[in-house]
Amino acid sequence: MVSSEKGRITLPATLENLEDFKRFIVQNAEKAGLDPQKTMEMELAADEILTNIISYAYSGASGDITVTCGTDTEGLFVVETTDEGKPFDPLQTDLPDVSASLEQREIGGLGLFLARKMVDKTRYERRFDRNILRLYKKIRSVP
Amino acid sequence: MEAKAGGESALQMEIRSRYVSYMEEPMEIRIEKDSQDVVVSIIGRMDAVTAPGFDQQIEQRISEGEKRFVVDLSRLEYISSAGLRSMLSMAKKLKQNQGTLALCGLKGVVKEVFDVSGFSSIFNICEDVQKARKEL
Repeated sequence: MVSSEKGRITLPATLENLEDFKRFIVQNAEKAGLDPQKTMEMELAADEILTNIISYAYSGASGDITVTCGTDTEGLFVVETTDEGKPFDPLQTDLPDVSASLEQREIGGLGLFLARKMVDKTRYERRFDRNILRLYKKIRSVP
Repeated sequence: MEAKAGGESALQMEIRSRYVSYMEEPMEIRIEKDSQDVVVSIIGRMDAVTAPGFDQQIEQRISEGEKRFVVDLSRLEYISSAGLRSMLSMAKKLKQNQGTLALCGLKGVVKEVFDVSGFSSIFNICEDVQKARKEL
């Protein structure tokens, strides 16, 4: 749940808008108090999710992505991406084999794997014909 | 594009291509070539928007017969899986052509991404360009 909404943008799901989405997220992350490292990690996670939506969600047809930033009831910074593309849970994809050799190594699944690794918590739901994905990051490291 | 002569080392030619991303930092590829090696410096950020520019430069060099590459990442601030894809593709192509590749300058989030994805163990990674050249 995004309890404190800092901002929301909706743009067409095209590669041309990827940097606009990312800049929006970075600005909100910094405002929320994430340090540069955490900001970049959240940016990367969102980058992978957004690139995946842009590439696949609408199967070549046009469609939008809505990105919402805020903090949840536990004080984590949240980035929520919503699209109206075909049902897809990016958290259920197969993990790549990170121990494979160069010859065996494939790229498939790596982006979504990285997204999950860069944040503290992820949640997916399918609601109102929309894919809703939330990425959570602790604002401060717990000592 | 202008060719710059001279520089602080014995490298013959510097070609610079500029790919403007939507952030303030463009991704810039600098290529320096001497009689033995090609040193590719990636400056800025590598993501789905900017990675194809890198691919293009590398494919051109490989098709020209270049076999020995160092990729200097010391000024790369950010890399997504699109950039990793480019690196993997480059490594596989060079392997097919009996070429060699070494990376150097990994740090910060770029190093984190290489480590988490397992890419640190499939590439020849060195501290700096000088050490990387020795590895080729």
